[in-house]
Amino acid sequence: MIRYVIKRILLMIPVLVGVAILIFTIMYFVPGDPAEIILGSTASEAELDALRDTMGLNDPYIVRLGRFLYQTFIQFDLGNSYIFNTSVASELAVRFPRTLFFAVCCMVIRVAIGTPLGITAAVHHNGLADRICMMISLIGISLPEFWVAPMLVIIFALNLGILPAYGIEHWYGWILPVIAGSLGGIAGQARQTRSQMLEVIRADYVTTARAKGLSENAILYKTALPNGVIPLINGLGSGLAQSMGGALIIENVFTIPGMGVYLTTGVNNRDYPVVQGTVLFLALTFSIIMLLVDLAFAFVDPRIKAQYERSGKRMKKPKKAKTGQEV
Amino acid sequence: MKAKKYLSLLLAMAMCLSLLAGCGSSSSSSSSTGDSSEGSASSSSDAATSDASSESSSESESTSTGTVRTTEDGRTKVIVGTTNNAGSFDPMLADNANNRLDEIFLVYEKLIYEDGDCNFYPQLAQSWEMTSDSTCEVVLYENIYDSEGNHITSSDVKFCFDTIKAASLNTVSDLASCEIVDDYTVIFTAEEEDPPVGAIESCLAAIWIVSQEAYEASEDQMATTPVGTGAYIMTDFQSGSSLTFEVNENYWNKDGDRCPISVANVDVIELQIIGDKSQVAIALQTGTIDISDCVASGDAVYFEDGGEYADDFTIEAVEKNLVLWLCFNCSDSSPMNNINLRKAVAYCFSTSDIIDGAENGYATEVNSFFSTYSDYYNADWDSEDYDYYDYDPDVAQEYLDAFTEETGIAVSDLNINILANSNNSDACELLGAYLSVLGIPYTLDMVDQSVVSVTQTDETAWDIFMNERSTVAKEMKKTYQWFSVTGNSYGSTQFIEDDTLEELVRTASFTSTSTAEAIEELNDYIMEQCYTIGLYQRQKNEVYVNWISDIQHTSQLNIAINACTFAS
Repeated sequence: MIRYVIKRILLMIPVLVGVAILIFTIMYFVPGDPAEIILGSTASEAELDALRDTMGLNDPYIVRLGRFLYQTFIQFDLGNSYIFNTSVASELAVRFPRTLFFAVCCMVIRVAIGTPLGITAAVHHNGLADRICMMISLIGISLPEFWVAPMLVIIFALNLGILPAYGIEHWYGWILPVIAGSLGGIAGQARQTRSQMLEVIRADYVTTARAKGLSENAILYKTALPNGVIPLINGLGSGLAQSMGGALIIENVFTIPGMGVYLTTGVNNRDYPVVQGTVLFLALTFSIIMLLVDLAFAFVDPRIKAQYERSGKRMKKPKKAKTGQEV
Repeated sequence: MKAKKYLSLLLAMAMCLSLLAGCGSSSSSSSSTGDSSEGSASSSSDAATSDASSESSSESESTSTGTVRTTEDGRTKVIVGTTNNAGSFDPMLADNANNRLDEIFLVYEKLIYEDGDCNFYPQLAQSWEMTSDSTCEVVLYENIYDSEGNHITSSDVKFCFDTIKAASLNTVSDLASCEIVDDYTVIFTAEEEDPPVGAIESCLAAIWIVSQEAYEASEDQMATTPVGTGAYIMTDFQSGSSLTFEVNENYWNKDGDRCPISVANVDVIELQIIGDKSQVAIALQTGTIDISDCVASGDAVYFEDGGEYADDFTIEAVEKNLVLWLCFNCSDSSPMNNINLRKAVAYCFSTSDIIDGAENGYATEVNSFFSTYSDYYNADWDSEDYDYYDYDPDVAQEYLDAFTEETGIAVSDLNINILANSNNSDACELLGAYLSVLGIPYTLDMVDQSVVSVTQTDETAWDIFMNERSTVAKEMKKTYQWFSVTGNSYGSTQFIEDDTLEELVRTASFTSTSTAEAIEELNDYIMEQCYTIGLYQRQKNEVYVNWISDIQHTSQLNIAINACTFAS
């Protein structure tokens, strides 16, 4: 198992190098001039050219790529923002925990509410509870974030005055953003759970468990759910990864200085170190999340664990018998 | 089947109801403060005593009705809301670019300070004298110390100048060198013997001066740890979230009568960065912030006469010093190189209607490409007799007919490409609508703000382009760069090749030949040839609680919160 983990960690390196080359190339070809954004539109061509020289933007592609890869993977330096002159790594170190906290909170709520909703719907398949649960999930999926967020602000901050409109200085400042960010996830989780549970509930081993006289709760949570949880874990992992990089609207509305806003600002300003550093960091984060998801699979399903352990070991050559035939 | 139908109907009703429940409505209509007369700087509506409730009150703070917010230890405090997320305090960054933090003036100071009306005041320099057209002698005050006790001398001035110069930033592009004469005297020399008008003083008013020792000791070039000579010290910095400034008890210039913004009328200033513009109004309404100049034009109605919060706040509409120019591509690749077509377009739209449609009425028409803040703006241009391409569809049609007759090109064969970006898309769309009325086909080309300049240099990529220009700082140099064929590597910005224009812009732009008459002649010629039309200056809405008054502004027309008046 440890070998499997080490192998996966080592596999991350070529992935990250590939991502680095890809994002560098994309930013290289995207139109826009960071020098002009720094100096403003009134700068002359000579001034722009001089600044581009200073920033190394006039160097050939391969030279710039080599410099970037060396700086990132050998010196472990993500550089400084062109626009703000602050260290990208230190900015990410400050912003990442906020985005991670937000994503984890959304995930927790998604699981805590979405999973029971899905199970209820599956157990009462085609019944009233099923329809109500699916209606709730349909509403959750249908309401766009960019509408829900301002509505929550108007209702709870402006009209009722019980929660702040923006800002995360206090713990209660996170309530509205997390609600807005998790609504869609709850709906997705409920639907996925329902679909998985419906498959599992009809399985023979569940019928057997029922025949043995187990309580309904025991059948649901100890027999059925563990067997249907693999795709749910996968969904949670991708949901977490998506929240990490895609919470831009929530971060903007609630003024959460997280990675989404940082990345978008970098893209708009053609701030290459910010974009490259943030994308690379997100790629690393996603890789780690996927590794944790795979490890969770192993924890839940012993068959998968055995598979991992087998893949970590070399296949032994079969012994030859004295007669020259293989045993 | 019926149950499913009823369920669907119920769901649809629930969604509609939730839509209606979430949408607020103002209690009454109010007159717009955007209908100010041409040339007026601001209009305001007075209000009664402020509502004391504050969503952001903490145990350590309290607000009193009608008086300034205070901290637990009795110090006065104000909370400012802004949407500007530029987060660096590095004093060596370009002064006029997007990354400049507006509140930098609280902690740093310049040699001389230029206000929004182009008036210069001594700040760190007690005197500055043009010893020739291209040299300027600056004498510093001898008692300048920064917040860490570093003594500021001429070597620090030279260090700051050399650092900015080495970074190839255009802040000091008109200056060639800074030489030390003695501990408190330096001489600046311009790049050219005959520099553009106002260029040297503008450079002096653009350099933030810091101690060399403090700057070199800083790990991030003071990006997050500024050490300056200003009236305030930054005590807290949360990137993208908030900044806190407290009064510098050891400020060297406490009497501050030399410069309007070298004062500290409030002890603590907290700057809150708000991501979404619509949240600014909500923050004011909930008492989270006390003042902001970032209120969206659509939200201003809540604070104007008759608005829900009119009694609690004062709202002022302040003109920005940026003019929206309508520029025509005068290259051979574009049909706009024909003067008749340019004039047809110029007469075919109503600027006031564009202001109402694109800016909700919050803008002021101008009759020149110079801003009303500029020294060069002539008050006569605002008179009713001055014909500056007023809306006249009949005249527009005459010019269009003249174009067709001259060139043989049918109007229907044209396809005018209007280059738009997020800052002016509404105005460009309205212009396009007017072109349609005239029968001129057009295409609206929306580009990202960051690629506008790249697209602009391609003479085949656009025919009409709207550009917001600041015409206050280094004006004539910018005018020269825009209109002269030597202004850019590809020629003039609008690809104009006109010897008369070239001669006029050179005469008007350089110190040795520039006169008020020359500048007026240039303005008149550009107008006659219809190369560029000044449309309007946008207004921004400043909203503040009633215990703040007498709002002061920086040279960029941002609120100088430290210099405002606070009811005690």
